[in-house]
Amino acid sequence: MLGIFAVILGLLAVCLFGATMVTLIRPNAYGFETLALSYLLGMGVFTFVLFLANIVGIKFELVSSSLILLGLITCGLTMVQVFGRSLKEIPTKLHHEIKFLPSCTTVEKGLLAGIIFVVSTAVIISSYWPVRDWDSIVSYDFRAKTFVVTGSMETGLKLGYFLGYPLMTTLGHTWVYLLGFPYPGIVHSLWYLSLVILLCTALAKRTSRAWALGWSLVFCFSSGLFDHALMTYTNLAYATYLIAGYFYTLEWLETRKNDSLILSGTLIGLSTWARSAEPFWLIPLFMVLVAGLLQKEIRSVSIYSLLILMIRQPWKFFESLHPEPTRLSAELSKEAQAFIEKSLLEKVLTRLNIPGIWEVMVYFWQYVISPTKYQYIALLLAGFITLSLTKRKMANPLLQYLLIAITLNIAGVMAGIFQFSIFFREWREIGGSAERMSLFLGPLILFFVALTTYQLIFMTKIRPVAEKSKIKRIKK
Amino acid sequence: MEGSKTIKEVMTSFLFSKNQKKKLTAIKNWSVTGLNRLAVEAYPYLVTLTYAFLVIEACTYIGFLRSLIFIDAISFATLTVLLGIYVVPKLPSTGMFLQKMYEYIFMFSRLITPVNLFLYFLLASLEEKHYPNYVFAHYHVNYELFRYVAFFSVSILLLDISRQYHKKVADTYRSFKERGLRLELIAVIIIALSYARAVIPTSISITRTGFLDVGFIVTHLFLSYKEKQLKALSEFSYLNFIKENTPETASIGIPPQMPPWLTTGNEGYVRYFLFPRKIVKIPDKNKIPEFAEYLLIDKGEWAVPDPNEYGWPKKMVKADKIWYFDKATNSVIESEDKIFDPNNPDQKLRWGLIKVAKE
Repeated sequence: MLGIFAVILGLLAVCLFGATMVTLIRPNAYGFETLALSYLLGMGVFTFVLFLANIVGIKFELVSSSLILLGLITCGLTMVQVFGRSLKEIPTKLHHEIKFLPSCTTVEKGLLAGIIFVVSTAVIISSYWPVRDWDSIVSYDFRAKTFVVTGSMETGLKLGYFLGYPLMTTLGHTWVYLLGFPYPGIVHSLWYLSLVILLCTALAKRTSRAWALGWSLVFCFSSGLFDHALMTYTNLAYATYLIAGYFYTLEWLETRKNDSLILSGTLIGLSTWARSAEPFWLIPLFMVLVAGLLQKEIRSVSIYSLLILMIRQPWKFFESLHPEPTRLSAELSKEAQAFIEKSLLEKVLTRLNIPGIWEVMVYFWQYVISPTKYQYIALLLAGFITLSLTKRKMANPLLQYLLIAITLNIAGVMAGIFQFSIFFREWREIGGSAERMSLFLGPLILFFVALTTYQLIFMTKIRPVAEKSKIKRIKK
Repeated sequence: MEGSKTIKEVMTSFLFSKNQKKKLTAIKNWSVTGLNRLAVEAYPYLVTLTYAFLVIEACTYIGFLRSLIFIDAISFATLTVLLGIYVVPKLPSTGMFLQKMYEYIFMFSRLITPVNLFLYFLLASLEEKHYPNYVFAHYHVNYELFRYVAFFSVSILLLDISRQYHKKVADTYRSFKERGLRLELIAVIIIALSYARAVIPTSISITRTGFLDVGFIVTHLFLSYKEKQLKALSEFSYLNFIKENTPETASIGIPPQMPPWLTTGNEGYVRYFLFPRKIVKIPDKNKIPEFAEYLLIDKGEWAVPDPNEYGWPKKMVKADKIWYFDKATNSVIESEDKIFDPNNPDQKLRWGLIKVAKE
């Protein structure tokens, strides 16, 4: 029982820290948007600081970790004061948004009830069961258990199969275990909740409340992320930060406001703290780079790049200092040994031919497109609608940016599979891995389809993101 | 109480939409004639027949109706729904009055749809809780076919809703047509159908998960952590036995990761439960890891075609102690055997632990 109270307190403290960051970066964010961002930024930055602290010798213990969090909250609150902001606005904003609930139509209330049902199911189930997913048992959660027992990363590093994935989810589990709660799945379900809220908010800002709620419910039922909310893998966290980062990248492309840029850079950077092997952080960076250089906004481009690299590079550097021990030759078959001994050029030439490329495309179809064919059909049709609206000069530029982003990401997935096929002999055997890698595409495609169909059906341009908040700020 | 409505008044206002509150009169100025009129007038009877066909097939077997009338109930229902999409726009528009039969079928669908959906969830849950064919064996209802009864009543309900918004839909179509966006409208319809195709089955699955899993949690709120692990994790009871009978500094030899030891031979999986104990293994199943203080007696949890493959170690081992573990009862027996002999059938196909004798 004590564990439940401790974990609620511990996660609220993380959110409080996150709320200070949100208040500093974007004081006029909506109430629920602030809540979701508080959790994402709080958990992401807190786990990152824990990692850095451990490198300098501070152990993973309840007291030391709590003091670190307290320190972060204190810094955050101090900065909030210095910049003349206030956290008191958050409950006011939330109260203001909740006050609108009785005025919702029956359909809107039904949609909201559906969303609450799905999300609360995920939270309840993930907070009840211990970790039971294979990859988590072998890697992510095992690392957390070693951290709690030993207080450091040393033992895990010696055991091997330790690096390869950054520590966001592992340290999230560690924090929950240190608080005395043995069910770290709660951390993952809260990531899911945050993503649902941010998707709904991003749609509501540009369309209507009913439209946003409807598509959010479709997302809950169709994205495949519900299953991941019940698991303790890294894919959900990665998809959440990446997609949230995209929402604010697109906002920046529309408005060129610094708060969107900073939020986007931080969230995209934190996505690399969840998983670092995937190169999809390059795509929003590329988009900001191109848009920024075209408008000669060198400062914006620099800030954005710096934010991402400040989070990504420390882990990459740490990884390079601790290469994984190589498997013994005795454990490898002759074919595997021969494959490893090939040069890079030989490996590339083995795959860079028509049969090799065809094999990759078949694999791509089988594991990326086929399981969720419906969303790619919707994407093609929404793309057709966007091009048609563009031709008639009716399309919002946001739709065009989104289409470009999604296309680049799909190309990136294919390129990633091809690269994987060059370096890993058993690349064909891990189809589930390709499916999980492309998990973030579903919500992005859904967001694009929702905006495109809204514009077409209601014959109205998508509302630009409001520059001023409708919520009145508290006057001191 | 004065001024409050009677139940009849409440039900009447709920079941009948605004358009139907006026007195029914003959349709004098309705412009639909010929085959279209026949279709409109016959449609309510067709819907009634479809309900009957679906229920009959759900209570018998797939193909029962095909043997009688050369068309199965599901195809018949699909044709009825498609005909409804054609027929409903031809009904008298708002302000005029529907025939009584249409009133009845739409009223019936509003009442029966939640009941059908609830029954379907209930039957699906019973089937999942017990065994395949449980529902048919006990209630003589094929729950997978009953799903189509639920879908059909939902389809009629949707036709009812579309009828009420018919004018809006017609206006939207006209506006698309005038702007030359007919292809785009078709694209939107296909997008809606694509997402519906994906969302409907997963929404049912997620809703079932919600009710079943959360229902389980509510009725088992105070299960301990260990009890939950026993339920959720493969080979947990056996690995927990190993953990409880070895010191934290022990080194434990496990079989190689190959059938039949794909789980207990997986070093990454086993170390999760046994950490900080050291796990030792080598790829040759016929050898024993050299520096292991303890060895698993591991029958093998994965099926293999050759029964001689079961059992590990494959070599004779001198032991200080041997424990045997009964997975069925979670009980441990400390044996007096001092030698593990893989050729002894009493030892080979068991689960247990060997404390290797120091030489």
